This record gives sequence, structure tokens and C-alpha cells, in this order.
Amino acid sequence: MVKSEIEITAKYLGIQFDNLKQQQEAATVGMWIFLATEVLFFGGLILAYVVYRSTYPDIFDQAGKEFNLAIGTTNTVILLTSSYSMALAIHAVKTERNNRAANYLALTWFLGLIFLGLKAYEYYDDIVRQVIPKFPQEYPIPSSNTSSILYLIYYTMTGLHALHLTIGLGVIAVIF
Amino acid sequence: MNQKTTYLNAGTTIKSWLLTQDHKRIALLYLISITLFFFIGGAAATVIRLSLMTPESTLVTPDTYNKMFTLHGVIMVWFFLIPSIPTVLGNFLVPMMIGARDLAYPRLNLASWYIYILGGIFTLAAIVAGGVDTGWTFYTPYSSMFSNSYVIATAVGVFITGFSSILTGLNFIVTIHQMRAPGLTWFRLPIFLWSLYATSIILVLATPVLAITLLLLMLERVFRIGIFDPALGGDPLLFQHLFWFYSHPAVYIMILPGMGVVSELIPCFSRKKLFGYRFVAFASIAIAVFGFLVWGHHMFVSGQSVYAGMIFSLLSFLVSIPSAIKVFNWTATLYKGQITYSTPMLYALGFIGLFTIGGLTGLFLAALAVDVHVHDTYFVIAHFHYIMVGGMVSAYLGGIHFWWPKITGRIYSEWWGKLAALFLFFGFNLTFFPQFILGYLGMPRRYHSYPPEFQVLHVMSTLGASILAVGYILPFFYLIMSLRYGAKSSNNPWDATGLEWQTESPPTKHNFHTTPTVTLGPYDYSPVTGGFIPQGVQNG
Amino acid sequence: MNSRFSWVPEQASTIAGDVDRATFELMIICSSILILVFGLMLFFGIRYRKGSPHSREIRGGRDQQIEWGWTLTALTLFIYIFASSSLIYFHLYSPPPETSEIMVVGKQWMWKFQHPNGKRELGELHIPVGKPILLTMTSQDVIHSLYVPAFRIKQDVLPGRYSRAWFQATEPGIYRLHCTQYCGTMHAKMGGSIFAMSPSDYLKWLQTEINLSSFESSAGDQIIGPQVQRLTMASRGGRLFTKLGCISCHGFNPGVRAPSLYGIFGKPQGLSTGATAIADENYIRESILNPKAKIVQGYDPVMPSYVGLVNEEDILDLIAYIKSLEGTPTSESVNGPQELTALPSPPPLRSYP
Repeated sequence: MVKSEIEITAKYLGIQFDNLKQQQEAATVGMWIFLATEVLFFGGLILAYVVYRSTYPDIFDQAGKEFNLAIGTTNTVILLTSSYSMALAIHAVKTERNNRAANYLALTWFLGLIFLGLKAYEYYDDIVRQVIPKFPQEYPIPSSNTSSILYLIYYTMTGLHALHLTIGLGVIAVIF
Repeated sequence: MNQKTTYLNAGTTIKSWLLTQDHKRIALLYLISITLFFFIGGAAATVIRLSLMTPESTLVTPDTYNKMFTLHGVIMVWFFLIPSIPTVLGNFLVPMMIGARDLAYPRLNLASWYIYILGGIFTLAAIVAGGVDTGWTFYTPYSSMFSNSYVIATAVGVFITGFSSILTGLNFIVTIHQMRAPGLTWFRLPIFLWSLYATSIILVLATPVLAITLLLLMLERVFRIGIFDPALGGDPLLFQHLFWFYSHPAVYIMILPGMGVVSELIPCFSRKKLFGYRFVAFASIAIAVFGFLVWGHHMFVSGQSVYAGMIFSLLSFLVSIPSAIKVFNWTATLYKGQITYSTPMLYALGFIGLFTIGGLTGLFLAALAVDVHVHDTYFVIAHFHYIMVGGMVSAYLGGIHFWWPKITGRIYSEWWGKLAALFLFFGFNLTFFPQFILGYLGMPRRYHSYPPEFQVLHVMSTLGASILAVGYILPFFYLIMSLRYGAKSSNNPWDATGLEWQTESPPTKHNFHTTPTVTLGPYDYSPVTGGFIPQGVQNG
Repeated sequence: MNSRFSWVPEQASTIAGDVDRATFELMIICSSILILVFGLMLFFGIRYRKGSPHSREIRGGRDQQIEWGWTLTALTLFIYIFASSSLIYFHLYSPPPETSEIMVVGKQWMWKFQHPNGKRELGELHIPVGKPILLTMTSQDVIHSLYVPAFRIKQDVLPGRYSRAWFQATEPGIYRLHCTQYCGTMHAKMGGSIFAMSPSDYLKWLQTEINLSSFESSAGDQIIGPQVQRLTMASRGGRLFTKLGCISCHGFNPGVRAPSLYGIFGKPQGLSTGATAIADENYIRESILNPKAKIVQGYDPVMPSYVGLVNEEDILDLIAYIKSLEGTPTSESVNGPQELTALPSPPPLRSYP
């Protein structure tokens, strides 16, 4: 037991750290700070959404009805479930139940994949139904095109989110 | 002569430099690259000043002039001022000052340099392709719908570089939190680290907002969907709010590290404890926090509500208090010291002088009615150059001179050093003081031509700029000369207290042979004897 | 606009003296702080240079008091400056009730002005001294900023909305006018002159003709013919109102398909969302260009957008016309000005590039 701990330490401890506990804590602090930057990153987009939602309440209301409610709701449930299974995986690692952790990781990964699949289908469905921003040929444009603002923000936000998710799936795959 | 093994000769291949994870080597990579960008930005400034010698520019076309001040702003802000002290001195010193072997994430540190270089390549490519003419502020809808220049390439460059800032800030916060040597409590940290900690908070919280703002700008420019252009249904003030939510805190990214450097230099060369350590430490954090609440003072005449203007004005006065506290504390530190005037001290005193002028003129801009008159005039130009060039560059050069013996193991020529510091101080004042007067007289910024009665002041300014240029070019030569001809430095040539002076000059690959134990706060100098007690010693 | 050098720009408005006084106060306060800091640095720097014979013994213990002392002193001074300059700022943004209104349109890279009687100027603005002048400003393209150093006023001019500035000139003379928000290649040349004249000279000037060939013709000019530039803004707006067809819903039978516009200006309007909006310039502008944004309660969103059919000057004329509608409809105001019928039929509507 003692020997294996020394071996683990020798293999995984960065030269800059004194011990594994310090390394682990550094990783945790770093992750929280990373999350703070993400909040501010998406915060800018959410602010833009809120501003235009209040500038064009009726148009946003109508244009928003075009989105696929069923897929959106399903994906939200999947997303929250996968967050929960990820949390369970971390808990399992902490209590040294590695098999269980692996199963939860796998579950998280598959839920993420299903999310991306549904999202891809939703994009396809949106595009077929022309729920997309209309790129104006004239300048200035008639004001009825302001629904495009909603769609642009929608694709930017969900696209960035999908990008994050894809990176996340890659990271889980590497951990695995 | 037996050659010691240092971080400099631990590997000599190009690969050992380009793939290094040693924070000291990465600091040198940054030093070389930001020096390059500084001279590119400086060249643009030279064109600007020369073409302003005459009321109607005979040197360059209006279009070229506009591209020059944009280039100057973009390069100096994002590729010099923001990275300068954090990535060079911070990278080198953060682990050494806390007694660690490296930053918490060495690979991330190297990655952040590559990201910075990638962003720089995009920006330089935009310049080579034909330049960009929006001003560094990228105000919409000019930048998104009207400019015919390479806005997107430049914005991509700045966007990418932002991630380099975020990673550096993240690395510093984690390192300062987690990796302090035994006995190094928060209130034993040198003020330089408090400053960098405050800077890092801003870097990680403000930079993402800039990234998303530039992304929206690019989307509007590419797809012509109205985010910021009212003709497309957007709101141009939203851009200004988002931009200044980043860019005002970014001003503190540019000055806080300078304050940190000066807080190290003044006690060392006065042989005295820093006056009001806790006040100075908390002032750094207060600046970082309040700095997020004052962005609206860039928009007093933009059409925002009068009441919003008043709140932002009040908060701007409040954020100036911690800066004032720092100036008073540095001055009080001199009282009953044993003051020597080495090169770094000249830069530090120059910093206090120029920063004080810059800070006090900031009060004019925070005062609503006065700002209406001087907003977007040369008064503003003079004000922020006093803070950023007078303040930040003085502190940066002061820090480079102070830690040069530690970084390179060599002593530079003190005579040339003092001469350069004096050139910088006098050249700077001659360049920018006339601009306060120009501004109050009503000379708007970003003008390639101006009424003839302003010519005298503009010529003075250009004359000062040429003296200032000498002040910048001199260190470039004598510091490089010192690498070959300079005397070898001892481990602690300034008799300073910090942990970084308790190891070799230049340090070994992992800084310390054993982790030092800290027993004292910083700045334990004795003004009576001129002696000092180091903060900690290496064990064994 | 003399070429003599002076340290302070001319003071030519009622507010200029106040701003300069605030600046002067700030100068005194800041110079005192500066002299104190520099003086102490110099004094300590010489007295306590290395090896000087003066005592280095410090009687400590009062550091806290010293810290709080200068913190609170600075705070008090700063709050004072804040309060005094905010009062002037508030004044600067509160136009008096009786003003002459001049419409300003900025575009790359020129300023266009229009007086209430319809007289237009380019790059020059004639105003009477001793009377408060209100500038209602908008931009055709990017953000500009109108700056008159001698008046100490500056206001950003944004596309898509109206911003306001007011001043009262005190001295007849010619004053510089600048754009201070960077707006592209010839930003530095987007200037002009303000001619402040005695009220009687101003009235005389208003009656003179100016060469209009330098003006580009607007979409509205194409609709209602070239001679209308001699009309007042309101009556030009009235003709546009007829020719653009606004009159068919808002005029002949108001209250059926569209709300009446009589007496609405400056009054709150109940909206379909339950909110209310003040019918000011920005509201009318939005209702012309983006009619679906705010629907008056009880009406269907049937009005088409007029984007591309009217330019900024035309909208300002329409606003002037709606402002002039008071009380109840008369036959002339409902049916449009009578002489209109004598005009040749207008060219077809053309979309604006």
C-alpha cells in the first residue's frame, strides 16, 4: 500500500508540487476559476439576449415559438441527468470505487452524445423549417427582420455550448 | 572557471527553449516577443507624431494616419501593456517569491505564450494585408458595417490573445493560493504578489466579456445581422457597455502590476519597511473590485441616462481613493529612510511622479461637467499616457533593471541606466504635458489635421517624443551589452529581502535547492543600519 | 477663430464659465496634492539620502491614524468635486422650457442643420445669441459627436435615435465645431463653424436664400418636388404625410385603422402590451421605421415599415408636422395642404440605397 502510493506519486506528481494533495487542490481551484470565466463568457451573450428580448418583446415572443419545444425539453433533462451522473462519478472516485466511477463516466459520455445527436437533428429541423437568421441583401433592412437577431444569438449560444460539450466528450474519452 | 548549472544553460537547443515548461524561460520568451511588439507599436507612434508636426499632414494620407493610431493602440494595449509585467516579471518572479519550483500549470503557461504569439500573428497579418482603421476601441457600427479595413483579422487576433491573458491569470491565482512556501502567510506576501493577484482576478473575469463582444462584432460584420447597428435593429451602446466592462478593468490590468513593482523598489532603496502594508495590499484588491463598476465613465456623452452618469462618476471618484492611498504610502516610506538613487529607484520615483499627475488628471475626467468638455480630446490622450506610459512603462523598466541581475546574472552599466531613466522622465513630460493644454483648448483626438494655432504645442510634443524614444532605445542596447560585458552579479546585489534573492543569480532550473521556510513579512530593512533580514532561508 | 494662442478656449456660452470655474477648482485641489506629494518626495529624498546625518529613529504607533487621515481627507475632497461638477452636468442636460429647436443630421463626414422655418445649412450653423438653442440630433450612418469647445458642450450623435444638447451663446462670433467620435477616414475634417449673431441679424439671415445645389436631394424631395425647400419643416412634413399615404389611415378617418396623431406629442400612449410610452421624437421615429415595435392599444399591427422610403431629414420633417398637430382635426390638416393638388404627380417611390 505504502509502496504503491510512492509509485503513484512518482508517476503523477508534477515537479512543481510538494505532494498529491496540493496538486489535487490546485486542480480544483483552477477548475473553479475556469468556471468563473465561463460564466462571464456566456454572460455577455445572455446580456445581449436580455437586451433585445426587452427591445423587441413581441417579435422575440413570436419567433421563439418556432423552436422545437420537445427536443429542447428532452435535451434539458438529458443535460441535467448527465451533470448528475458526472457528479456521481466524481463522488465514486473520491470514495475509491473505481468500477462504479467508470460506469458513471460512460453514462455521462453517452448522455452527452445523445444530447449532441438530438441537437444536430434539431438544427437540421430548424434549417428545413427556415428557422434561421436571414442574411439581408439590402442595407438598411426592413425592421421585420429583427427575428434574425434572436436566431443569431440562439445559434451562437447553442453552437458554443455544443463546442464545449464536444471538447468535454473528448476529455472524458481521454480519461477513459 | 567552473560553470554553474543555471536555468539558462540547462539546455541549449532551440527545442529546449520553445518546448520549455520552466516559468523563467517562458518569461524570457515573453520578454523577447513583447519587446518586438513594443517597437512595432512605437514605430506607429513615431509616424503619428511626425505627421502631426504640421497642421495638414504632409507625411501620410488620412487613411494611413487612422491605420497608424489603430495599430499603435491595438499593439500597445493587447500585445505590450497587458502582458508586459504579468507575463515577463510575473512569470519569472511569482514562483520565486513564494518559494515554489514553478507555476501550478507549467504546460498551460507555455500554451499561453503560444496563444499570445498566434494572436499576434493574426494581428500582424491584418496589418501587412492593409491595416485596420477603427481605432483600438472598435466602436460599432463603424467597425461592424462601415470600415473597409481588416477588422475581422484584427479582432480574431485580439480574441485569441485574450485566452492567453485568461490562462496566465488563472495560473497566477492558483499558484498564489496553493503553492506558497511554509510560513508564507497572505500578509507576508510581497505587495507585488498582491498586485498580481488583483490583476489576475481582472484578467479571468473581464477578458471573457471582451472575447464575446468581439465575437458578436465579427458575427454582425460577417452576417449583417443587427447586434450593434441600429439600421439592422441593433444597439450601438450595448457594444460600448460590453467593451468598457472589459476595457476599464483592463486599465487596472495595466497599472496594478506597475504599482506592485514600485512597492518592491521603494522599500529596498529606502532601506525601510513599506508604510501601511495592509492598506496597500487591500487597496490593490479594492481597485480590482471597484474597477468593475466604473465602465460607464467612458460614456458620459454617449447618451446614457444622466443618473447613470452621476453614479458612474461617484464610483470613479471612489476608485481613485485606493490609488491615492498608495501614492501617500510610497511617499511616507521615504521618510527617515537611507535613500540611494540606483537606476531602478529613479524609475520608481519617476513612476510615482508621472502616475500622480496621471491619476489627478483622471479626477478631471471623472468630474461630469469637465469631462463633457475634455472627453475625446488630447486631454484624455495625455491622461492615459501618463498612467500607462509614464506609469506602467516606468515601472516595467524599473522592474527589468531591478531583477536584471537575477534574470541574467549580469550587472548593467549604472551610468547608462540613470541616463536612460532621466531621458524617459523628461522626454515623457515634454511629450505629453502639452497635450493636456491642447485638450483643454479643444483639440479632438484621432485627428490627422488640426487648426494652425495648435502647431506650437504639437511640435513640442513631437520633440519630447524623440527624447522619449532615446530613453527607450538606450536600455535595449546597454542591457544587451551587459550580457557580454557586464560584471557577474552576486546572489543579492541590492541587499533585498525577497525569497527570489535567496537563490543563485541566475537561478537553477527549479529555483531553490530546497523549499525555503518563511519566518518574516517582506521589507525587513533597517533604516538605521541599512541592513536587512531576508524573508526566509532555504532549509539545510 | 483667431490664430492667437491662449491657455483657455473662448467662453461663449452661459455654461462655459461654470465649467471653467469647476476646472479651476479642480486645478487648485489637484495642484495642492501634487505640490504636497512632490514636495515631500523632494524633501525626504534630499534629507534622508544615504549617509546623511539626520536621525532615523521613528516613533511609531500612529500609522493607523495617518492612513485614515489621508484616506478621509481625499474622500471628502473627491465627494465635493463630484457634487459640484454633477450639478453643472445636470444643468447641461436640462434644457429650459422655451428653446428654439434646430435639427441636426450627421453623416460621414458632414453636419447638416435645419432651422424650424425649413432653412437648411451644411457645415455651418447660424444661431442667435442670448436665446437657448436645443439641438435634436441623429446620424445617418455611424456614431458622431458634436463638440463646440467655446460652448463647452459635447454630445454623441447616434444612428437610430435622437440625442439632445442645448446651449445659450453669449457672445456674437464664429466658433469651431468638431466631430469628436471617430467616424472614419475624414473624421478630422468633419467640422464646421457656428455663427452666433444678434437676434435681429439672425432673423434677417433666416429670410435669405442659400445655395441649395450643394445638398443632395432626399427621397422626400423626389416625392414632393424640389421647390418645397422653402417650406417650413412642419409643412414639408405635412406634404410627405399626404404623399407617403400616412394620411389614408392616420388622417381621413383616424381611430378606425390607426390612432389619431392630434395632440399626441409628448403624451403617454397606452400600448398593446399594457405598458405606456411617451410619444417623443424617438417613439415617432421608431413607429415610422419599425411600426410593430410598439402598438397602440386597440389597434392591429398593420402598418408597414417605411425603411428606405424616407431618410433622416424626412423623418425629422414628419416629426415636426406631428408636433404641429394640436387640438382637433380641421379639413385642411386632414386633407393636407390645399396647394398640393396643383403639383405635378410625383415620381414613383424609390428605395433608398
